[in-house]
Amino acid sequence: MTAAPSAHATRPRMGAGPKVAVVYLAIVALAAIFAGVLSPRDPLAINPSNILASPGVRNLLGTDELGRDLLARIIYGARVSLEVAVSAVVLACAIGIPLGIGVAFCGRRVEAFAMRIIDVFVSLPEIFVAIVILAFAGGGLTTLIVTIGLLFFPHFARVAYGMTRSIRAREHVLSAISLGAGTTWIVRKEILPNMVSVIAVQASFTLSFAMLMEAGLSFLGLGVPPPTPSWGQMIGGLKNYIFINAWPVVVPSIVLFATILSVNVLGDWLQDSLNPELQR
Amino acid sequence: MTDGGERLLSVRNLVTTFDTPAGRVRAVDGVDLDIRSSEVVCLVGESGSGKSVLGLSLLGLIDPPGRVSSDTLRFDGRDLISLPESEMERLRGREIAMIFQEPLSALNPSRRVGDQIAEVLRVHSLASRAEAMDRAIEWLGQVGIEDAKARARSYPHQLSGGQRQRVTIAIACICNPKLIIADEPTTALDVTVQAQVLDLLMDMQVRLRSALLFITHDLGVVAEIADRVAVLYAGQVVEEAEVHDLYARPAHPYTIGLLASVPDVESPRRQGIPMSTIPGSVPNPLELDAGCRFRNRCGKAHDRCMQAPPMIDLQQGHRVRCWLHAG
Amino acid sequence: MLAYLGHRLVAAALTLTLAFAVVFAAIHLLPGDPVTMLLGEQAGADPEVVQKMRVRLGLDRPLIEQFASSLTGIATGDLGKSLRTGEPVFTDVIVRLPRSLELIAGGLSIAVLLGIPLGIAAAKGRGRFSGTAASVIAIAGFSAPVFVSGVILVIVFSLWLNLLPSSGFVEFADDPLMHLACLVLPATAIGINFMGVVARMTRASLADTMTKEYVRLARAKGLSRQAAVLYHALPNALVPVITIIGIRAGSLLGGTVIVEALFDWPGLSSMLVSAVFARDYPVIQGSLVAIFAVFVLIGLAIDICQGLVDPRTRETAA
Repeated sequence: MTAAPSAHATRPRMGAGPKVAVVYLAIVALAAIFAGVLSPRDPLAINPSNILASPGVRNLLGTDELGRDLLARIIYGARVSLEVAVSAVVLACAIGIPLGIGVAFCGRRVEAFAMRIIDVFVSLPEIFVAIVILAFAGGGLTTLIVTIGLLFFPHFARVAYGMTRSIRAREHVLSAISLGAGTTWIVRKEILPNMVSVIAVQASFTLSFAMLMEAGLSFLGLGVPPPTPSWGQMIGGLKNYIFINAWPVVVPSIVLFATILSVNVLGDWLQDSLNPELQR
Repeated sequence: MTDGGERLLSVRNLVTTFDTPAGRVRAVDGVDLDIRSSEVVCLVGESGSGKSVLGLSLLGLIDPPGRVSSDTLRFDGRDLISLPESEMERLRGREIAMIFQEPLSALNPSRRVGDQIAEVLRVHSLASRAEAMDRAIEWLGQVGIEDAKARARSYPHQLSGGQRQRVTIAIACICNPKLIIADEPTTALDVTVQAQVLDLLMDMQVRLRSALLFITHDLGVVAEIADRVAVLYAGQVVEEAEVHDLYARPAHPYTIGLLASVPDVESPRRQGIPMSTIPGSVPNPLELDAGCRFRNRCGKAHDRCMQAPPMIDLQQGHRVRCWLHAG
Repeated sequence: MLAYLGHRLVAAALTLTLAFAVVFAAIHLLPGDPVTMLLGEQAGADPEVVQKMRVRLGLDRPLIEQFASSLTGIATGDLGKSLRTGEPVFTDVIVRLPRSLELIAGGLSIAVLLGIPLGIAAAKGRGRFSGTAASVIAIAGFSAPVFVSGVILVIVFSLWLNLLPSSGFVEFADDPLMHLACLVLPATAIGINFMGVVARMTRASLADTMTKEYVRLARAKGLSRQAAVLYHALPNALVPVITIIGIRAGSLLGGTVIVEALFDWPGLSSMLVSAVFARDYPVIQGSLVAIFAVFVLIGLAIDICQGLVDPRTRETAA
C-alpha cells in the first residue's frame, strides 16, 4: 500500500511578490551565514566620536548611539534574529507535532481534555506569558529560544492533532488498519507525509510570529541581551534619539519589516500552492 | 396546456462561453428556443449538457469569465440584448422569475423567510414594508405552509427541504411573472416531497397563467407536465417537439436512448421499447469538434456525422438535429 | 438569547480562573526569589531577615493556600499591596485599566473602520489593480510589527509634521483635546497591524460569500449586483470576520505592551513590565489578572456580537 499524497495542485506561477520575497530572504540568510565575511566592521566596536550618523560613505547605513556601524549590526542582527526564530520554530515542532499525533491516538476523553488545555494556551496573549517567564528565568539566548518555542508549540500540536485525525479516517488508511497495519507504520507512511504541506505553511507563519516576538521582547529589553545586536533591540535603543536623528532607527525598522513581510508573502504563496482548496 | 398564444420568449443562436485556465468552454452553443405565453416547456438534459447555464443566460446572470451572446433574445416584445442593466434588473423577479435547485443554499441563512419573500415586492417598489410582509405571509399560506404568520419569522435552516422550496416558489410567484424558469426544482428533495412540490408549482403556473421553462433530467416529470420538450445535448438542442410527439415518435438517437433508459413500466407511451442505457458519457466541453457531438455514443453514426448536422424540420413543430432525418 | 448569554458568561468565568491558575503556577514555580531581590544585597547576609520578610509577605505558606487566598482576594477586589510602594494594587489597576482599554478601543475602531472597506475593495477588485493594491496594503499592515509602525508614525507625525505628540499622557478630565492627541498615535500603531488581519479575513470571507447561490437568487429577484453584495453577501461575510476579531483580540492586547513602552502611555501593560523588572509579585499578579480579565471581556463582547449577527450560533451554543 502506497501512501496517497495530499491534493497535488500544479504550483501557481510565482507572482512578482513571492519572487522578490525569496530573493530578499536569500540575501538575509546569506548575510546571517556569512556575517563574518560580509560585515565591513566589528558590530561591537564603539566609536564615541561618530554617534547617530546618517547613512554615508564611512558607515553605509549610519551609526547608532554608541557609534557602532549599523550595517555591521544589521548583518549580525540577521544572524541572531534568524537563529532565534528558526530554533524556536524547530523546538515548537519537535514538541508540538509528536504531542499532537500522540494525543490523537489516545482515548476520546483524554483527547478532548488535552485539546481543551491546549486551546486555552493558544488563546492567551503570548507576549504576556513570555514576559513573565523571561523575567524570572533570566536572560540569555537559550532561555529566549526555549520560551518562544514553548509559546508556539500548541499551534503545531493543534495542527498535527487535526491532521492526524482526518488522515486516520481516510478510507485507504482504515483499510490498512483492518489489514493489521500497526500504529508506527501508519504514522510513518501515512500521517507524516500527508501532514508535510500543512505543517510547512504553519511553520512559515509561526516563523514570522517568532521573529515578531523576539523583536518585540528585545525591544522591551527582555530579549537578546546587549551588546549582541538584534533588530528589535536596536530599534528599542535608537527610538529615544529620533529627535536627534531619525535615520538610524529607520534602518533596522525597514529591514525588520521587509523580512517579516517576505516571510508572510512566501507563507501565503506556499498556502496557495500546497493547499489550494483552503481559503486564505 | 398550450394556449397557442403569441411568442413570449424568442431566442436565436444563444451562445454562452466561459474562459477557463484550460481554455474557452462553449457551455451553450447555438440554441434556438421559443416559449409562448402560459406554455410549459421542458428542457431536458444530463449534467454537463448546459441546461442550467442556459437558464442563467436568459436572465443575464452569467458573470465574467462567462460571456453570453445571441442573434435574437426577445422577451414580451422587448429586445433583451440591448437592454441596459438597470432595465434588466426591473425584469428579474417581476416578469421573469427563477427557482433554483437547492433551496438551502438559495436562501440567505441569516434572514427570516418572510423577509426574503417580501424583499421581491420591495425591490420593485410594489409595496410598503408592512404591506409587503402581509402579502408575503399570504403567499406562504398559498404555497401550502401552515401557520404562515409564525413561519414567516423562521430562518431557512428551521424549515424542512420541502418547505424551503415552497418558499422559493413563493418568491418566484409573488409578482405574478410572465415567465418562470425552474432549474431542477425537485431534484434535491426527498422523493416523497417531490410530487407535492411539483403539484404546487403546476398549480401556480395554471393560476398565474405564466409560462414555465422547466429544466430537468427526469423524463417522468416531463411526461406529466410538459406542453413542449427541448432536448439538450452538449450545449445544443438536438430535438424539439410537442410532448406527445416526442414520446410517440422520438427522432434523435439520444432522445430514443433517454426514453429507453427510463424505468417507467406503466406508461402506455413506453410499452414495447426495451430498457437500456446509453453507453459512454457527455463529451468534454473543451474538446468539441465540428461534427455531431453525439456520434461517439450513437449506434447509428456514419460518415456524414463528421459534419455538424443542421436542424431539420419534421412534422408540425417537431425538429431534430440529425443526419438520419436529412433527405 | 438569554440562555446563550448565560452560557458565555459561565464559560468566560471558567476560562479566567483557569488562566489565573496557569499564571499563578508560572510565577511561583519559576526560579528567582522575590524576597532576595526585594531586599537586595543585604538579604544574602542575614537569613533571619529574609525569613521574616517571607512570613510578612505570606510567601511561606503552602502554594495551595496562597492560590486560594489570591483567588478569594480577586473575588473581593483585594489584590494585595505593592512590594515596592506598599500601595494597594487594586487602586492602581482601576486607574490604569481605562487607559489600556482606550488604546484597545481606539486600535480596534481604526482596524475595523479601515480594514473592512479595504477587505471589501480587495474582494470586489480581484484580479484588477484596485484589488491588488488593497491586498498589498493589507498584508503590509499585517506584517509591520507594532513598534515599527509606531516608530514610523512618530517620525512622520511628530518629527516631520509636528502635528501630534510623540509620547506623554494627560488626564482626559484635565485637557480632553491633549488627551486625545496623545491617544491618536499609539492607538493607530496598534490599529494598523490589526487592520491587516481584518482586511485579509474580510477579503477571503467576502470572496467566498459572493459566489453563494443566495446572492445569485437576490439578483434573480431584481437586485443590482451592488445591492446583492451589500445586503446579502456582506452581512453573512462579516460573521467569520467577527469570529476572527474575537480570536485575535489577544494580539490587540499584546500590542499594548509595546505601544505603552514606546509612547510612555501609563496603562496596565507598562505597569506589568515595570513590576516584572522589579520582581514585584503582587503587582505582577494584579496586573495580569486585570489584563486577562480585559481579554476575557473582549471575547465575551465578541461572542455577544456574533450571537446577534448569526442566529445559528445562538442555537448551537445554548
